[in-house]
Amino acid sequence: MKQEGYIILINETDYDWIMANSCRLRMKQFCFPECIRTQSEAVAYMEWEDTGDSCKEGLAAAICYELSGTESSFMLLAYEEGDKKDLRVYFENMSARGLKDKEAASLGWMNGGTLRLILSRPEEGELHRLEIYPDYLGNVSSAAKKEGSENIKRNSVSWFGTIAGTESIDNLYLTNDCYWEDCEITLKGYPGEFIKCTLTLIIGGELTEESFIKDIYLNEAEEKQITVHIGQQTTLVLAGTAANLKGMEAKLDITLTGICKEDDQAKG
Amino acid sequence: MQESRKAMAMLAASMLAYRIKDGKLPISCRFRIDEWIGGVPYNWYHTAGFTEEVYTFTAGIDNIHAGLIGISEDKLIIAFRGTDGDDTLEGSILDWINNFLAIQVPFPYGPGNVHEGFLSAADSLKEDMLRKTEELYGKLAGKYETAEIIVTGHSKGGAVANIMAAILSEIHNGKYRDKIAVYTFGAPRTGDELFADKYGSLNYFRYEAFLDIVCHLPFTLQETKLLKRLGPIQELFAECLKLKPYKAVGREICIYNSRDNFGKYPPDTGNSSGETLNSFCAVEQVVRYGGFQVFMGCHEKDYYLLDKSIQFH
Repeated sequence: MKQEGYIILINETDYDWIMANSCRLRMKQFCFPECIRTQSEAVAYMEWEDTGDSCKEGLAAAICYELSGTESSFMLLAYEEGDKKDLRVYFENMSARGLKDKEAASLGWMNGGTLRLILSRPEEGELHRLEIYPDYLGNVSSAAKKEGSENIKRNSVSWFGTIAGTESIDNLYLTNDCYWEDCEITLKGYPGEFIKCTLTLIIGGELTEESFIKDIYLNEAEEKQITVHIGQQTTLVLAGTAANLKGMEAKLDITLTGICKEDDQAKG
Repeated sequence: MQESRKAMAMLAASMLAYRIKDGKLPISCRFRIDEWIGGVPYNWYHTAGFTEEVYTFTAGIDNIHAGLIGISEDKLIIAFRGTDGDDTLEGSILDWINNFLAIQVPFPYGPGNVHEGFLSAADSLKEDMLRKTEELYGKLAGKYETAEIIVTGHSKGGAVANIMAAILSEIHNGKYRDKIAVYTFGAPRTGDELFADKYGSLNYFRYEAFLDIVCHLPFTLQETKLLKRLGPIQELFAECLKLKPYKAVGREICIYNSRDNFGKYPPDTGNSSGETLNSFCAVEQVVRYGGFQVFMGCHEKDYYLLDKSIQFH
């Protein structure tokens, strides 16, 4: 049976998180962004190998993020033993409430679930604060972040893919539990690429005038963002294709973010 | 609960129609165990609510089209068999060829255009089945003021039910129009927008499992437009994209199966045109990942979830 899940990484520290190392031993998909900037968030996706055979406890995959300009880092480790799976977080040269330096904490695992991992500014007597919210009953779209005084909630879903030739992207979707004022579509290319994206935004289960997004081109490590006005409480699905016009295999990140003002949500 | 029980009874009648072989139902159909669902034995004849004789009808080369008529209390139930080909290889091939006759032809009994193959199936069964319907309904109406005619079917059977209900609503100056209810399960589309708008006014319940691709065939105008923007996947459906757009009839009731990760897509909530692309997108993703095996369950067993006592995981 397919085992997959999401981790929402929310960086509320004053440092960018830079991917230092990653390894994938028994994991089919282990998609994490290379950088999570300060005061931002990203969605990571993982899918376990469906080997069907049981194994002794072993590391399936790991990723290490360094806090830029410091000696501190943290690792996310995916372990499996037989059918049991577990995610763990490990701190190096840093600590937080409930988790000391060189200590690992188990986060558990639930197929199809979403885990929110927030690292925030320290309070007195702390180096950092780590908060973990296993949101295993919801889906990825329930991961949300509030923007301070503006009372704006942003829900994001991301696809970090590799394309060879012309390929369909994995569809991204947001449910209708918010009144979406706007939605943002963010695309990020990587060096050595020239990518063409043909995207379609399905709003409320149908194609509207806003659905047919003009082709977007990404040259090298270019990042582009477009905003589409929604103005209703409805479902959003982003579908489409991407092609590297230089012909070789390429990486591409696409994020769909729904923007909801709390006052507007009351309309629903 | 009442509605889902009624729908389950109609699904059972539709499944019973699959038991028609060589023009008749086996005697064992009244007591055999047709299906084990959630550890519980089901007999389609009894679940449908039949207590008396059920009349069967077949037509077409190798009897590829089949239907039945029976009475359950104050309801006259007309059910059609899905793609089966009378359980023979030759018949099955012929039945599938008939399904692929998706060119639209004018509906002879009312406005709009319909699927040539499904119209041909309904036409071939019409004469005998309508005669029996009128005879039995006359008796039933004399007994019950609330007598109604329910037309139902699964898959191709649902499509034929759709067309037969439209025919029935037109004959004798619409004499039966307000007595008809239609229940279809996993049925493909049968006609164009004009046909759908006219017969959508019937008391029509269209049950669709979220990941059942059959309910999306042939494509609507919006699905055609979207599919053309989805890249390599469209090559699989190249022939379908050449057809004139179809539109589904009636009120959609979507069935979700919690075991499917793809079922976490936003649910079908209906849009301004009565269609929705959410399940279409989910199906497209399943197709892309080669999950064809999913379709068998989606097109058949997911409909058993209509019985609210059944929980699949």
